[in-house]
Amino acid sequence: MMDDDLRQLGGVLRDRAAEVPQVQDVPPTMVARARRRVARNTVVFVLGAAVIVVGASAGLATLGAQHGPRVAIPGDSGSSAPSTACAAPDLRAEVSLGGAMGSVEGSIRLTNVGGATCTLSGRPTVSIFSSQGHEVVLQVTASEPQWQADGAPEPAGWPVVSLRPGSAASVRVRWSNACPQLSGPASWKLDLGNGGGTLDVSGAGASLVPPCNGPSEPSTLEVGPFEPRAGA
Amino acid sequence: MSRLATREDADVTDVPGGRLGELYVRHAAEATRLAYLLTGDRQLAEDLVQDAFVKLAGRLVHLRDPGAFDAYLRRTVVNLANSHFRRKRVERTYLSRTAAEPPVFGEAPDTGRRDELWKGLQRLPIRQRTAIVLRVYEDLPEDRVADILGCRPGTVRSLVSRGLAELRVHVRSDDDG
Repeated sequence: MMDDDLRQLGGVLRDRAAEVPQVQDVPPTMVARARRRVARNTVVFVLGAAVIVVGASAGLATLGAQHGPRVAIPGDSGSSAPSTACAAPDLRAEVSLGGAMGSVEGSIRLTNVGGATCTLSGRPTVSIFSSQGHEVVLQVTASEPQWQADGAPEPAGWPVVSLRPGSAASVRVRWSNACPQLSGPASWKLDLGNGGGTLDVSGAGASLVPPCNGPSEPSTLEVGPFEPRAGA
Repeated sequence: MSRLATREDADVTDVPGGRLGELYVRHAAEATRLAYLLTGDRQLAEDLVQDAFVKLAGRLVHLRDPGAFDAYLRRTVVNLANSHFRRKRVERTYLSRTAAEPPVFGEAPDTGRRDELWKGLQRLPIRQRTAIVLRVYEDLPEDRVADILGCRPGTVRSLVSRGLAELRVHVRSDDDG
C-alpha cells in the first residue's frame, strides 16, 4: 500500500472516529453493574480469606493432635496444611482449538478424574508432534492467563488451582507459523512439571495445524499458566 | 501521546458513579472510538466499552499509577472486541454474509474510495484490523501493539502488512467492479 493510501486510511479512521461524540453522562446501568461486580469480588475475597483461615486452623489443629503441642511462629512453613499436587493419572487432557488469523488457538482442559482433590500451579511444558512422531521445534513463550486477558478478577487461590474430583483447569495455548509446513495432523503432549508426569492430549481440533506464513521465522507456541476453567 | 489519555483537564469531579464515573467521562469517548474502528458498529462499541469499565471497576484500587488506566482500558477493549468475534463466531458469519450482500457499514451506499477503505477494513480478520487500527489510528509503536495482542513485534509487522495488502486488493477489485 502506498504512502498516499496509508494517509488516506488514517484520514478515514480519524473521520469515522470523529462520529463518536464526547461523553457527558455516566450510564446508571453501568454504574449499577460495576457496583454489583465490586460487591461480588468483595464477597469472594472475604470468603476466600475465611476458607484459608479455617483451613490453616484445621491444619494446625491436626498437626497439634499428631505431634503434640506446637507453637506456631510467623513464617513457620511447617505449620501449613499439606497439599497434593495432581499427577498425570489423576487427569484427563483435552484440547479445544480453532483457527485464528494464521494461528490455531484455544485451551487445554485438564479434568480431575481421580477420587481426591489435587492442585496445579505454574505453567506446563507443552510439546507437539507430527503425524510421523517427530517433535516439532517450537519457540515457546509464556502468555498471560485467559482471566487476565479478559480483564476478569483474579481467581480465588491463584496461582494455585485446586481441583475437586470432576472439576477442570485450563491452559491457554496459541500455535503459529508451523514451518516447515506439516503434511499431516499434529498430536499434543503436556508435562505437568514437578515430576507430575506427561499426558497425551486428545480432543476436538488437536490435529489442527496453522499455516507456515514465515518460513524463515520459528514456529511459536504461547502457553499460559494453569488457571481455573471459566465457568467451572 | 495516547489517544485514550484525553480530557485530562476536563471538569469531571462532580459526576455520578464516583471515581469510575470520572474515568468514564474522561476516557469513554476515545475508548468507544477505538471499539467502533475495531467493530464497525457504534452500538456494539458502546456496549463493549461499558463492559470494559465494569470489568475494570473491581481493579481500580490496584491501578496505583493513574496514567496506567488508559493502557488497561485499551487492552481490555481490544480483548473484549477479539473475544466478541471469537466467541460469537460473528466474524466468519459476517464475512460470508458481506461477501454476498451490499455494504453493511456506512450510512449511505457511497462507492467512494474512502468508503471502500472503511468497508474493506471491516472485512479484515480481527487481528489484522486491530493491528492496523492500533498502528495507524492510535499511532502506537510495534512493541506496544505486540504487547496488547500478545505476540511478537515481527508478527505485528506481518499482520499490518498482510492487512494492508488485503485492503489494497479489496479497494482495487471494487474500483474495477
